[in-house]
Amino acid sequence: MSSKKQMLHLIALGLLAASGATAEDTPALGQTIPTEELAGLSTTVYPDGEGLPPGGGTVRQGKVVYEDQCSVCHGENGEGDMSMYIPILAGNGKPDHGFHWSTGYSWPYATSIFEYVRTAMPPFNPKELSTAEIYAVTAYILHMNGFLPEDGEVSQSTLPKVKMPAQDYFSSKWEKEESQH
Amino acid sequence: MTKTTGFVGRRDFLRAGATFLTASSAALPAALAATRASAAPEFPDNMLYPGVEDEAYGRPSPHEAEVARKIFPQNEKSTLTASFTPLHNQKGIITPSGLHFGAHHSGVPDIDPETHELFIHGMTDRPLKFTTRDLMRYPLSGGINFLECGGNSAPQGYYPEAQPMPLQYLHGLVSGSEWIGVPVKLLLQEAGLNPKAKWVIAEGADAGSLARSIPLQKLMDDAIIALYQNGERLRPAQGYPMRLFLPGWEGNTSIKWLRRLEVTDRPAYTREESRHYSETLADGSIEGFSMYMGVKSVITHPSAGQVLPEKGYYQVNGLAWSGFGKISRIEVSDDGGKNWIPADIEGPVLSKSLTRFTLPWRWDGNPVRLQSRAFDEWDNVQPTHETWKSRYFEGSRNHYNAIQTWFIDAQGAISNVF
Repeated sequence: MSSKKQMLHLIALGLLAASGATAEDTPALGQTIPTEELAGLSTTVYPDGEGLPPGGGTVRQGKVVYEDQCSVCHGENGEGDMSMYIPILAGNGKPDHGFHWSTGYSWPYATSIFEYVRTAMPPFNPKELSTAEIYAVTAYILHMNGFLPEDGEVSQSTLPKVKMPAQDYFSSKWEKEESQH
Repeated sequence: MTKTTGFVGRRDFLRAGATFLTASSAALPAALAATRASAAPEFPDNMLYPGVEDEAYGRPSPHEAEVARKIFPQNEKSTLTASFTPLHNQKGIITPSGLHFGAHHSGVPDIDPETHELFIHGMTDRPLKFTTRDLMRYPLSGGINFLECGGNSAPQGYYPEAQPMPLQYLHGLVSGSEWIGVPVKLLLQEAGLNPKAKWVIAEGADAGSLARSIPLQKLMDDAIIALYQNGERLRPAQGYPMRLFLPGWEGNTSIKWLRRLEVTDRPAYTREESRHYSETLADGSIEGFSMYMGVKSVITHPSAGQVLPEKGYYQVNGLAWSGFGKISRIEVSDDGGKNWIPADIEGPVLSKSLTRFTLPWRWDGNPVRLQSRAFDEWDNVQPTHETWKSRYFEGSRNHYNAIQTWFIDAQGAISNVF
């Protein structure tokens, strides 16, 4: 162990002691993830756009994807069917029911739509859509909610800038409760 | 003597012991006589013939076949399923693994432990991966904890009127197990945390890559990568070969089939935390990241779906739990909440665990409203239905932890009421 590493180790131990945890011996079996494996590992997309791949798609292209892949369950206009646990994608505003909320008016960030479609939709055949198709159908869902015009589009750089209404009325209970404990 | 409740206090119990015994023994002679009549001249077959060989992996008696989960199935459009624990059959704080509740958004995958890997990357000094075999060699810890779905008891929050449902459907998305695994902090420390790290995105290896943003603080506290449940390796439906287990927190955050921990400085606002597991407050705003499961209790016997065959003695049985810590007190009322009698806490009182309570009770045959309410060591109190409803918008259905009222009518039929 180099003296610098040793020092960092001591600092780490000091931090552990301060936080009440105990440094324990472990077999330390973790293998470094090779760079090439690391590149495609994360599918997480953050509200600021980190994790979005290069690319984009238009509302018009998204309509084609939506009608081909999504409307059979989510309905022609994103109305969903909560009796079959099919979420409502599009709404006309802040609804008057605590559970029947649309994606458009309850999700605070549009980037989450891209991420969820990319990893989980359609549910019986996930991870098959291309990046262009995911951008396009995300644009179409935003259009159905009235957030993008018919000739609109989203891309890696513009999707994080779409202002979702729920940003004004979504809060984190964790941030409130964290202070209690 | 005026008696306001039917609960038999300790002192009353001793004094009234003779009556109680008489009532019990009055029922015995008939049963004994029947047994004697058939048993005296000849033995039952099971005493005359040797039984079958034991099985390599045992199963419940075939006579207990009705003790099973109720499954809310996938349909041709949605992969979401839920499996409800038969709490009305459970006595004790451990739910048998095969009866543990499940809520699966993309089905139950079959994962080969030899090829499955856990990746830890992001804001770490070194991105690391671990095989299942690797993790088995780490120091293990854990404990007996409840796990509750954020959507448990949803019908109580969702519907304006109390639904005629049995206990299993109303509250069966909570279970108790002993969970043993590798403390997450050991692995995070091995990878080396960037001082700016504050959140970790945990992702499962299911078809929907279900993911949640978890505060680093919890992962450095009592979180484990669970490998064992109730003494054996996890069942597939509980995340085999490994799951994140966060004691006391909303079940959805204990990511099953754990594949990836991405260390970061902010939440990702995944689908689960954007909508599915968030609540609508009374003012119409949305509250997400509701991690802790609030203090809660329910009487499991008697409960909706059961019938009291006659008036007389019953032992009230129930379970209580709190995501914040230990249960400190449980009270029971049979007059709709006018009088509350402390219940007896049976067995261990463990932090973030199911806690069993009982109380001897005599039903006089008149209609009653039977309730329990729990308190935890942080002085959290289980709210009334009305208080709970006042915090949320009509139809908001997650994190329902209000006092359950069972109405017992003069015929002994038990129903769910508000």
